[in-house]
Amino acid sequence: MSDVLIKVEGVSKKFCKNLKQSLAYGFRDIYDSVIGKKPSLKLRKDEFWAIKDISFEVKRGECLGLIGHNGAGKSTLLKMLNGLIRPDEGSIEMRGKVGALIELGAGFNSLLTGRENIYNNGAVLGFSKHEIDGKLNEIIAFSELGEFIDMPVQNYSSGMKVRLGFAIAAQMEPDILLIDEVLAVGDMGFVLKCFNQMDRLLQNTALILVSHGMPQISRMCTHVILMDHGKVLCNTDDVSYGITEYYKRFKTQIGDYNGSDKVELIVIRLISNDSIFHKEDDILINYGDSLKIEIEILCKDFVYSPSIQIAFFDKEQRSFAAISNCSDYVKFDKVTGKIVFSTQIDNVPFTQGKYSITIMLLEEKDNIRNTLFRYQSAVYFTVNNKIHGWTPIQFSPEWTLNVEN
Amino acid sequence: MEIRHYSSNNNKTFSQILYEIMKGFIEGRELASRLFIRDLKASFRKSFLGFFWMFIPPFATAGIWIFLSSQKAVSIQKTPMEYNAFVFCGTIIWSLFAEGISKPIQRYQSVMGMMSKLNFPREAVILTSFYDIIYSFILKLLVLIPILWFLGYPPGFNFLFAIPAILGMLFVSISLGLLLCPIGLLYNDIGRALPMLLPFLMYLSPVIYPIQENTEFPVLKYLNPATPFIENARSFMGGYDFNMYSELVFWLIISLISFIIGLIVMKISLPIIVERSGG
Repeated sequence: MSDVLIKVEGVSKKFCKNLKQSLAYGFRDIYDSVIGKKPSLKLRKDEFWAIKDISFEVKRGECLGLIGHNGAGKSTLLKMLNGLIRPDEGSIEMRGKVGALIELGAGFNSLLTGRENIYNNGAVLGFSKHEIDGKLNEIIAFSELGEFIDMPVQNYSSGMKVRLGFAIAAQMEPDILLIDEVLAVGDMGFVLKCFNQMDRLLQNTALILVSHGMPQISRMCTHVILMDHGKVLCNTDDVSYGITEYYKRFKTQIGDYNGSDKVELIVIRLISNDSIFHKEDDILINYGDSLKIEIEILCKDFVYSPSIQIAFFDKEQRSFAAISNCSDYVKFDKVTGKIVFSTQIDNVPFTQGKYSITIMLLEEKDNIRNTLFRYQSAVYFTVNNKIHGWTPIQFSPEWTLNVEN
Repeated sequence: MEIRHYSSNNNKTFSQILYEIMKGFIEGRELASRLFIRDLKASFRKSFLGFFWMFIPPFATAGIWIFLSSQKAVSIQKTPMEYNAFVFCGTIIWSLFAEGISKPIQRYQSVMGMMSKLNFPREAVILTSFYDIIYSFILKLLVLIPILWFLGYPPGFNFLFAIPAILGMLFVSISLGLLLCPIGLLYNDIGRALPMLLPFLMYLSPVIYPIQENTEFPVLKYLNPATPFIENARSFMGGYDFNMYSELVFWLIISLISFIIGLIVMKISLPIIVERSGG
């Protein structure tokens, strides 16, 4: 029976956009607080709700992912959970020791060496000198800084500082752990170390993880809260649903069209599972379904041996797949007027995530190839899949096991 | 298991707040000494003159007044001890008072970034301010004693009696500094005004001139918290009479009360300050 370690009920927080006004409100709020008055729930001039009416619980052994656009209120919520600022409405209950992977390396003085700074950061995190003496070798080994541990921190790269900070913070054994986007910095080795550490802690800890890396969220989290402009859009234990909703919020549909006057792109259609989608739609496709792509083009003049090339890009704009066999099937010497290219992928093998396709129309005349148009990020679509991971392609072949003897 | 409860209601009782403040001091004592040691080490690493910088301001002020007096440009009458020694003592003790007032704001400002990201006992910062000022006191004492000896006031048993007075003065100065913090951390006007006001306040204290027996200069005698402490300490070192014990006790009691008030106000207002000005 897991116990509830974090309980948030109806919490709201307001901030002021204007600095001078904010300081004046601060002065007023200090006075009100000292005489014991409750903060007003009306928005004063230039104030806005950074967080409005959030409620959730996290039990020991659960990992809650907080996702949302920049400025949605995630870090503000973490600050309130950490006791740094007070909610304007509602209440928060935190049971047990609270640790935070938030400002790694807090307390460092850059003129001192890494070794000396271990004590500084450790003290801020609540370790006694005696405790740090006992863990010193472990921390130095974990950080993998080697001889550089005795170099002044001002000479460290930001990755090295984060490694040292994490090595110290990893010694914490809290009941609640708050993690705020520290995983964005750091190399692959560091990130994997972070995950192993979090796995180790997860059984006995309630974790809250703020991240923009959806593979990280899907790997670690048991629950997800999607925030948008301070409000909770969805609070679910179906992590892939939450992540899909996150992707849907980003309407980066601006594609880049470069073409010649000879041809005009009329429409692109994606057809899957009996649904016809156009580029303005929120296109959602299921893993394993078939995906048919139709491209309608108007040729204002003759086009010789036309073919289409399609490239698939992941959300980090890396291309990872392509279709280049059009000319094996389409053999027209010359065409004009309205033409429709059509192709079908029978089994969409993509991991969950958001993808885009880039389309190029080529013609070939007298053995010279010419690009007639190139439409970068022509269509965006999201793939729904229970499987999430680092790689865009996910195969699901059959397996057998032969036990011999 | 420790349970922390945060809400919009400020319904903590007075004794609950005091208990949390005490806990903050106890839990934060290692952090306090660590912060002090950290900054001390760092200040020596990148400095050639190192801790000599501590002595330059009081020596400069004392030097100017000794020079003016020796040139008879200014005539300060009837000092109860030899003028050079009188002035040196005064400026060094006053410099400790001035430092004590500025210390809490400076220390809190230096940890503002950390306070907006991590939770640690905020009372540790006040303890660190005390450590800073006591370190400064020890250094200045080490310099003051040989100088007084050279000027004809060898250290004796009576010097020891000066120490409680100075420690009391440090406590008074930190209490005052703490009271300035809530507003001083929101608006930087206070932090800017202090370096200008403090020299001015020095001239309102019996630092470079003595208290005349017959004048009733009210600010000097009754409204200035530093006066009884400076006079008490200096009177032991210089071997003259001191008769402001009632003012001494009065200011000590006032400081104790204002220290507690300052701690409570800081405890309540720090989250608001962090929210409005932190990173």
